[in-house]
Amino acid sequence: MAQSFSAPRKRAAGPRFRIDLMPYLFILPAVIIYVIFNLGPVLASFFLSFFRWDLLSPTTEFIGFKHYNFILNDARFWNALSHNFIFLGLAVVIPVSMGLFLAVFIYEIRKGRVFFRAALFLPAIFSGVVIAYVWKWIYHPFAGVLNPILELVGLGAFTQSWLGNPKIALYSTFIAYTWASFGYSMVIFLAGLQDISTDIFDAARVDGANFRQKLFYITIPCLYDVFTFVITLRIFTAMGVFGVIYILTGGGPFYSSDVIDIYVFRMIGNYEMGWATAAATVNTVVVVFISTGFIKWREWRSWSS
Amino acid sequence: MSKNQITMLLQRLSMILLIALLLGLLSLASVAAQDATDILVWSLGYSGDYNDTLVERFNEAHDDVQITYEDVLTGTFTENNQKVRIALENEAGPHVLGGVDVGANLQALVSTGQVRDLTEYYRASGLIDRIPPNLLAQVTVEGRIYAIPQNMESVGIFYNKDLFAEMELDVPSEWAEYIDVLEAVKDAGYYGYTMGLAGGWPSALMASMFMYSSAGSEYIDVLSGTQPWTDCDNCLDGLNAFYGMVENGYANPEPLGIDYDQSLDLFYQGINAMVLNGPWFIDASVSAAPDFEIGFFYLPAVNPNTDIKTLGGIGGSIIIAEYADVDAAFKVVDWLTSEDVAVQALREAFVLPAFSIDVPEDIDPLTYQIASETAANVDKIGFWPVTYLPPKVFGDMNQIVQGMIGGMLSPEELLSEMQETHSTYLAEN
Repeated sequence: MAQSFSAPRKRAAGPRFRIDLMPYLFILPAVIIYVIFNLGPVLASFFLSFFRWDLLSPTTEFIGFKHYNFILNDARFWNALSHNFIFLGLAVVIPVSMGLFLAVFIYEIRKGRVFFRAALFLPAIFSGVVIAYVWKWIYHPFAGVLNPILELVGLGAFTQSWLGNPKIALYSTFIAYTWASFGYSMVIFLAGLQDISTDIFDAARVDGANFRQKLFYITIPCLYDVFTFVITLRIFTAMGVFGVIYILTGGGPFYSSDVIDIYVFRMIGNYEMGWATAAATVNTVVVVFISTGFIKWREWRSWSS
Repeated sequence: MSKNQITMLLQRLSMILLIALLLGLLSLASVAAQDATDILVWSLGYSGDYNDTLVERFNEAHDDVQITYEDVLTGTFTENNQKVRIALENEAGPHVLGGVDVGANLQALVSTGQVRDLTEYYRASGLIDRIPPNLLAQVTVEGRIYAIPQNMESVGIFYNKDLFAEMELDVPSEWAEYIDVLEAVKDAGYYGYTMGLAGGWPSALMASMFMYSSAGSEYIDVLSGTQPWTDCDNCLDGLNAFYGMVENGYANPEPLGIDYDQSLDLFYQGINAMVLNGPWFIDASVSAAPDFEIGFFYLPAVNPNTDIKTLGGIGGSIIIAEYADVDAAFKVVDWLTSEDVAVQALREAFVLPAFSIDVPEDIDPLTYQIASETAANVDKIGFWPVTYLPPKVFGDMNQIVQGMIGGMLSPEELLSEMQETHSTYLAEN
């Protein structure tokens, strides 16, 4: 009986790589959805910014960097972007500090914690449109409640046209934005506070630390990563603010509360899709630059300390 | 075969015959229905609900032509124009379309070659005698007529008739008289001119009203880009008159702090005595039901030598797509431009026709007054600025006018700003 002998299979030289496909299969649906609904539109928008297109026409015209050239030389674009920066500067300070102090307040109190948490978070769950319309009536020069309240408490000198005065229209919209957004910061800080071991606070209390010392030497340092997250969130929302300003002022009077998203929206409304996407692309680059820079700086500080 | 069997057979036969007869009738009906030509319509030139009413009335009155109505034009002015342009270009749109804006929009539609030349139809139908030449000129492109002016709009002052009677004020017919009325109203503790410009709208239209009122057809040259804004001295006079409403305390305070709807509330509540508006305001004021009677007059011209009485013009026109069945489409147009339908629309939807009709005296008095005044001044009514200005420039104009009202720009600076915005846009496109 003939026997056949096969030579033993030779093992490949060098280290053997084995790719386990299973984890990739698990994340595949999420990746597909992300590519279709997030990455795809961003890339399509970037691509579109090099064309003249009116959204409905079947034809487009390639014009290279002409839209970018126009936008970067458009004083109204820089005006809108500067307002986003003002918004950003205020948004990382006011709603964040309000959120922090209210979170600490709720964390400290024993009675009514659930009530205060719910009441203070309530504005955050309203639609931006509802909030804008509420504030539109609060600011109404004749029927609004803000001016009469100021007069009632002896601050009549401060009454004015909150949305009609170009010098303060942007800040008036910021107040409405703050009212809608501090609740998010508060609940995130509250979650962070609950993660801090109570032993640290107990030890500080035994050592005689007062409220201020506990806040600045325990609470805030322990919430380092939470701060990074909350501020990053504020960067995104401040640079992408739209609904509140659009409903309250439409970017006016005379562009005094204009921001990039309203600038882009105006372009879309005029069927200038190339201009609109070019402006949106520039804004995206600015947001990515600021947020990435901020996160890297926080990481570097965290590592160096 | 027994008698019973024969009876049963006859019964079955008669049943089969009856069913066959019914089937025959049904197929005849479906053949008849198929014979009716279907005309697709996106708008008959009226609001959504009234379009439905008209379609129902037309279909009831006609067997050979049936209208299918698709409520597609639900977007903004610009969006709707774009939809129509693309649809006609691709032969995928309506066969007959009402409410089409004339001016640059009509010219763009004609340029695609998909809008039917109606010149011969005008002559054959006698429509040419029912439309004033100045309106006919607005639907004529290179000597050929491409649309039928359907409804007419004109802007004027709606006023609190009770208050005027109480103060013994006469309706002004000249600018100086108008200023006297504003002064009297102000002295009595009311505001004469209603202004709510937060959000932009309708800043550009209001400023345009005063510029028309001073520059007349010269302002049309400015809008169409053939004359620089900065060279229009009459426009400057108009802007100064407009700014005077704020500067002299004739307008309500905080015009930039309240929007258009909020400003109308001031009129309904009797705080403001007058409001500049168009015929669509009649419908709105009927819904608001103020406790006083409303009257109407045209804003007296800032410059008495101007050749244009007021802002407005053709509110919408009817076009027929090149690919439509001509006979069926003309049947729809004949019906739409008939005196009966026009009078019904005036009575039920407060829409003024752009072709001559006998205005019935038994309609709502305010509608009657506007319809009569518009008919009497049809040759002196200008254009909507947005029919000539590109939408982007018009949008910017809303903000720029806010700048003047807010004291950030002088009227001269407004004209310079408009010139820069307009010329930059034209250079880019």
